[in-house]
Amino acid sequence: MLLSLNSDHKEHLSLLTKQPVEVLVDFCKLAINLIQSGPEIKLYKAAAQKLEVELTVIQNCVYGLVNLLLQFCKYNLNESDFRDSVLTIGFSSEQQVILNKFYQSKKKEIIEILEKLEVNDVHYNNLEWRFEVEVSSRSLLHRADPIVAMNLNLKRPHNTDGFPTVDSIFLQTDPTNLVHIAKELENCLQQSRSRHFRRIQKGLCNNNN
Amino acid sequence: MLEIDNNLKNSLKLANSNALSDENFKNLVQHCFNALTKKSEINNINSLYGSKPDTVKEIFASVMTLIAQFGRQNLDPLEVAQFLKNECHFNANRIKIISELYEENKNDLLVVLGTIGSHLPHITDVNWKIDYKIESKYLEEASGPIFRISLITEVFDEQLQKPVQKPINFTCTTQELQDLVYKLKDAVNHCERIAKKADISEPNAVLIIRILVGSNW
Repeated sequence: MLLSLNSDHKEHLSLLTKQPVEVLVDFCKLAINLIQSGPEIKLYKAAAQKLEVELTVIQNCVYGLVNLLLQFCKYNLNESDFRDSVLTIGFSSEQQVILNKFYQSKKKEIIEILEKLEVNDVHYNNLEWRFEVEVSSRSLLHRADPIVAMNLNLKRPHNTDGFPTVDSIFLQTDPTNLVHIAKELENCLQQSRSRHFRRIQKGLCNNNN
Repeated sequence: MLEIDNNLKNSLKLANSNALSDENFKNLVQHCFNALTKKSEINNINSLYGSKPDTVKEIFASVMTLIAQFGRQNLDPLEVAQFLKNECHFNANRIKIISELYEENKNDLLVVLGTIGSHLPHITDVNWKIDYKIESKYLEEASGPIFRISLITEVFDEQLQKPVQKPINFTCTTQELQDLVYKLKDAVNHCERIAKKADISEPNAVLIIRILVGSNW
């Protein structure tokens, strides 16, 4: 598929299409910087002076480049689709090679970030357990009940501040139920490798392309 | 060995008196066991035995306390009979009534006594379903199964005064579920090893092993 950009986005990138390869490399670095540690106005000012343009033009250009990267990742474009899309925007073949390298090197990282932005599910994070025997209690002086105490850690990808949080939940179970739960969840994992599951997976992915 | 205070001893003297016939006494003891093992609510004793309501109430309370103590100490029916004879000087009929009903109800009584106390939420079951992510606002690509897990736990609700079920819901990717299953199976294996190497000469260890073996290992 060919990625089509809106006119603003195209205009913001137009500065880059006219620049030599070295400048494009520098902008790719600025874009990586933006993803990893946020905007750095100082660097943009330096670039603006060098290219003799307004600061906002540089800013728009860097943001445009990052947005381009996000779009490519969203649709997970393959190499030929990527090339066609980039050439259509107005980049030269040499520039396309640079952008492709940039895309390939950051793709995995960005997809991971995008996946985390999705529906804010509580995810399993860790499980710690220990084996105990309840020996005595106020209401029953002589007893010997085996118990497995557990600390289940659940992670929320982002709370209201945008930071991930990990909750500890303390639980217990008896050996019989422990075996049952382990078996049941293993069965669940097995089902995700079953023929039925693969058939549905295949059908859905084919429709998608 | 079980010791009881003088107040209780005095009340128990009533239980050994002719205030109630043997048949009514048996009924009363049966009620005590039913109430302790939560098979029935505590009935209104007054309506069951028309006359002498104060006496009946006192007998009921003292016998119930005594039975709870027997269970707490995990006495066997023979020890119960001995105790009633030596410490409370009960007559043979009443000893027979209590120790027979004790034998009958002992297991249920111990189960109820064992559940009293503070426990962490106890996992009793698990529900699961598998979803498959097709696309989202941020990613158009299908990216694999999502496992929705719901651990069913039992907790004692203070307000309702009974155990209630509470689910703990969370989501797993394939890797996360693999990790969870791996850790649970690890715990199972360790329990199994403990059961194998526990000292069989120790009576409590035998009990634990019996429980572990009872879970089909």
